[in-house]
Amino acid sequence: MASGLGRYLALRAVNSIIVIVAVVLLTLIMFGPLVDQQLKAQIEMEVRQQILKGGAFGKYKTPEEAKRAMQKAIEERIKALGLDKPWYIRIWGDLWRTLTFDLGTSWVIKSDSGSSKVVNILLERIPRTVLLFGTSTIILLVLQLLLGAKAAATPGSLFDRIVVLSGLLGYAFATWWVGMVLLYLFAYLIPIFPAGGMVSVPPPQDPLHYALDVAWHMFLPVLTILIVALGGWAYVTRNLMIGILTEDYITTSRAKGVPERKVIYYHALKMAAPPILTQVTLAIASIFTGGLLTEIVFSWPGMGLLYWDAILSLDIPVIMGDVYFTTILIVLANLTADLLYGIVDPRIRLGTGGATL
Amino acid sequence: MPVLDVDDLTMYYEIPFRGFVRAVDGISFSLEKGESLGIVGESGCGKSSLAITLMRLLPKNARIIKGRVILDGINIYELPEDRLRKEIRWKRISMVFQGAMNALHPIIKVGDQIVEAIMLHEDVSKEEAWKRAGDLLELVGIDRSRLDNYPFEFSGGMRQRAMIAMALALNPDVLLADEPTTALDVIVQAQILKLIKDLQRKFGISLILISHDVSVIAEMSDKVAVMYAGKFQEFGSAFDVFLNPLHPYTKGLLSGVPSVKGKPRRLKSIPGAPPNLLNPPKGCRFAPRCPFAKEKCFEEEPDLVEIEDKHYVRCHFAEELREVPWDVSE
Repeated sequence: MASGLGRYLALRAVNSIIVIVAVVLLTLIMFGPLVDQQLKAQIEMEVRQQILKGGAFGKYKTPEEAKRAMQKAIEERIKALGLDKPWYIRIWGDLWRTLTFDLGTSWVIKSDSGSSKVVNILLERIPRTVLLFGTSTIILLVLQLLLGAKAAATPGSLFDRIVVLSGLLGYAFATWWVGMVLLYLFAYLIPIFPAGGMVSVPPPQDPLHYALDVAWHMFLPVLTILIVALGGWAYVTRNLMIGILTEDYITTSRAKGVPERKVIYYHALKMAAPPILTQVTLAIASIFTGGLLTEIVFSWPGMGLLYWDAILSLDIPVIMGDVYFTTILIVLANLTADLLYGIVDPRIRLGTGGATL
Repeated sequence: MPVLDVDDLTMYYEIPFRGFVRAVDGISFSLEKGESLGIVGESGCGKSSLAITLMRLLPKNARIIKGRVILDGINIYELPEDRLRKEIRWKRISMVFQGAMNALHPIIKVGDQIVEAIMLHEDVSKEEAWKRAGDLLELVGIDRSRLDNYPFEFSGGMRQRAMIAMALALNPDVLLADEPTTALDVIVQAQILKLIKDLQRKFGISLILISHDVSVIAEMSDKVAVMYAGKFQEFGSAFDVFLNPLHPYTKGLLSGVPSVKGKPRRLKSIPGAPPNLLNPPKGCRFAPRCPFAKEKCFEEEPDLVEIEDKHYVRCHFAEELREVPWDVSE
C-alpha cells in the first residue's frame, strides 16, 4: 500500500528537481550577459580608482603607459574571476552555486537587519509571502468547495446564478485593479483598513496584538485574491459536482436512504476532490503570481515586493535569488497538492485501476 | 394482499416551453410476496423511468401526474421525505442498478458502503454492521476479507455481487433490478442471474427485473410486462406472454431472439424507432411501426384488455391477429 504512494511521490520529487534546475538554468542564461557586463564595468571602475587613488599614477611616464598598465590590471582581475572563459563553461559553476544557495551579495538592496547577502534578504521575505499566499489558498479551497457544492445542489437557483456570475466576473478582473479599488474604498474613502505594510509602526509588543495587527493588515490583500480567484474556482467545483450528481453511485446513495446533505457534502464532494486538487495544482502558479502583484499594491514586504524593488534598482543577484526561491515555493506547493491527491484518491495510492490518471 | 400495488402510475418529465415527455404513462400492476415481475422493452421505452418512479428517486423535472405506489399498505408518495428515507428506501425496497461498473462509489471501501446502508436504518454498532456486511459478502460468494477493498479492485461480476449483497442488507420486501447484467459477459451474467434467483427464493423477496433482454426476462420472471412508449402493451404470466404473444410488438420482439431448440430461422427486427414521447402519436403508440396497423389504430388508442385469463393486451386487433406471425419484409 505504501509502496504505491511512495513510488508516486518519488516520481513527483524527481520531476520537481528537474523543474527547479531547468528554471535556474534558463534564468542564468537570460541574465548571464547582463551580469558579465555589470561585473566588468565594476572591475574597470575599481582598478581605475585604485590606480588614481594609490598615488601610483606618478610611476608612469606617459598616459599611454598608464593606460596599458590599467588595461593589464583589469585583464588580470577578469582572469582571476574566471570571467574570460565563455558563458557556457562558466554557467555550470553558477548553476551549482545557485542550487547550493550560494547566491552572493546584492548590489543595492539590503535586508531589514542590514545584511547584503541575498540569502538573508530572501529568508526574511519568504515567511511573509507564505503567510499571505497560504492563508489565501486555504480560504479559497474551503470556500470554493462549500459554495460550489451548494450551487450544484440546486442548479439554476438564485444562489447558483450568483456563484456562476461572480465566477465569470471575478475571473475577468485584474488582481492589481481589484487591489487598488479596495484600497480606494476601504483605506481612503472609509479608512477602516491600513493602506499597506504588514504591521503598524511601531509594531505592537505582545504576540496576540501583533498577530491581530498582522491579520488586520492582511485583510485587504487576502480579500483581493479571493475576489479574483474564488468565483472561478467555485464555478469549476460546481460544474464538476453537477456532473457527479448524475452518476449512478449517487443514485445508489439516495436509494440507500442517505440524507441529501450527506450525499452532496460527502459522497459527491469526495469524488470531486481529486479533480479539484488537479485544478488547484495547475492554478497555484497563477495565484502565486496574483499574490506577488497584490504584495506590490499593498506594499506587503514579501517576495513580490522584493521583485519590484529589485527590478527597479536592477539588482540582478536579488532577482535571480527571488526567481530561484519562487520556483522552489511553487514546486513545493505542487508537491503538497500531489501528496494530498494520493491521499484522497485510493486509485492513485494503490497504483491499480488508474482510470483517472 | 400484494406487497406492491401500483395503480395508474403516471410520471412525465417537464421540458420548459416544450411540454411533457410521457415516460411513464398509466402503469398498473401488483406484486405478491416472492413473486417476480419482468419488464422488457427497447431502450427509451421508459423502463428505467418506471424504476426510479417506483423508488421515488425522481429528478427535479419529473412530475407525478397521477397514480399511486402502495408498498405494504403505505402510499410512498404521501410519505414525508425523511420518513420515506428512513422507513422505505433500502429497508423495504432496494435496488440493483444497471452498469455494474458505476453503481458503487468508486473511492469508498466496499465494506464501508454496505455498513453505511445498514447503519442508516438500524441501530447497530459499527462492529456489528461490519460483521453483517462480511456475512452478506459471503452470501454472494465473495470472501469477507474483501470488505477492505475498493470497487476498482473488484471485477465487474464481483461488483455486481457486492451490489446485490448491499441490496439485501436490510431484508427488503421488494428488490428492483434495473438491467443488472448489462455490462457483464454471458457467463458472469448467468451466474449473477442465478444468484439473484436463488436469493430471491431463499428470502421470499418480490423481484422486479427490468431488461431489454428477452431471454433474461423469460428465465427469471413469473409475470412479464412488455413496455413500449411509456405503457404496458402486454401483461401476463411468462408462459402466456412468451409462448402465446398477442400484441404485435411482443411478436416483433420475440422474432428477434434466436432459439436454441427450435428450427433455425432468420431473425427479424422491428423497423423504425420508438416514438418521441414529447409528442406521442395520437392513436396506438406502436401503430407507426406496426405492419398490421389499420386506420383505427392511428385514430384511437386501445386499452389494456384482458383477452385471456390474466393475460392483458393493448391492441384493437389482438383477437384477429392471434395466429398471424410477425412478418416484415427486410
